[in-house]
Amino acid sequence: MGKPTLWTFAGYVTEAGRHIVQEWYDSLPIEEYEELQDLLNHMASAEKWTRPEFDKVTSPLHEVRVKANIANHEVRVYGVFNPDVRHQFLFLLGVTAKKKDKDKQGQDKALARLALLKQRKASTHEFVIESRSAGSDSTQ
Amino acid sequence: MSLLSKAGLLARIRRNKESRARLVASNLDKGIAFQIRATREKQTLTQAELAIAAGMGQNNISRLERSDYGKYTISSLKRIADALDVALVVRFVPFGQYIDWLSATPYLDEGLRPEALAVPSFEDEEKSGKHEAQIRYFALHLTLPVAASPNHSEVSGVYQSRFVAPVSIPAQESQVA
Repeated sequence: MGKPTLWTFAGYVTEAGRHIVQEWYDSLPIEEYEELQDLLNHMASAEKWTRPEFDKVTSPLHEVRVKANIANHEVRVYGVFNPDVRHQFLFLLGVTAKKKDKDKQGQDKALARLALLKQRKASTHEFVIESRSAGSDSTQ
Repeated sequence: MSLLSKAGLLARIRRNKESRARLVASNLDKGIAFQIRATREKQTLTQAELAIAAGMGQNNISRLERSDYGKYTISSLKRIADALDVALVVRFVPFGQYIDWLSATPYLDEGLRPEALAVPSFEDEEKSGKHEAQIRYFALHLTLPVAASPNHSEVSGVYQSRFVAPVSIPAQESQVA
């Protein structure tokens, strides 16, 4: 067994128990899924996260981003540093958006989910970055 | 340290040639950007200071630290390695060794030898069953305790031990273990 990574990732769980960010990630086109997977693996061992792959959006929201298959678009995952777990980043919402688009709608949705978490109406789970590697992607 | 498992990476490299090429390019681009950035910051250098030390423009350093850039040259990497006073390794390796490294699976690097120069292709490795081994590791074999050894009078007080060659354990067996 290797040493644990410096950072871990968590995902948002709705009141109904759905792992909706994980579901979104698992259904990404294979190229975007693997791009994000490799980036998260590198970020997990990096002491500092910076642009272009990581940026502050609006306090306390941040985003992780990689290039998307569609021209001039990028895959973004909005999230926050988990105040309850040291060195954990919590994913709240995943979207594919135009590069220069501020995506106010997505950011508001992520902040709304954060509010639900604070009200204990939602929860978190350990985010699995290799969730579909062994099977389902063989045909894509 | 890795969030990627050997089984997951094996699935990726077995998908198709395009997938293998994408795995290499993606991790090369990210690895170079993350390493330059982290090493520069560890040495408390700004991008401008590193640029001067490497005889490059600050814009070049900024671009090389972008994980989505991917247009570096070996020449520029050598200059940065020299400026940071670190070594640079550029090698072709078999996919089996590559996924061991990416998944933080211990493996034996035997240095320069014919196979390290004429690198086996993915297909060559598949044919030889190399990828079937889940774990390759050093085994430390201890002989029987001295008291039970027929030669105990000759080696009194010493447990003989020796390192043996790396052992490959087939997938099924290692999962059971």
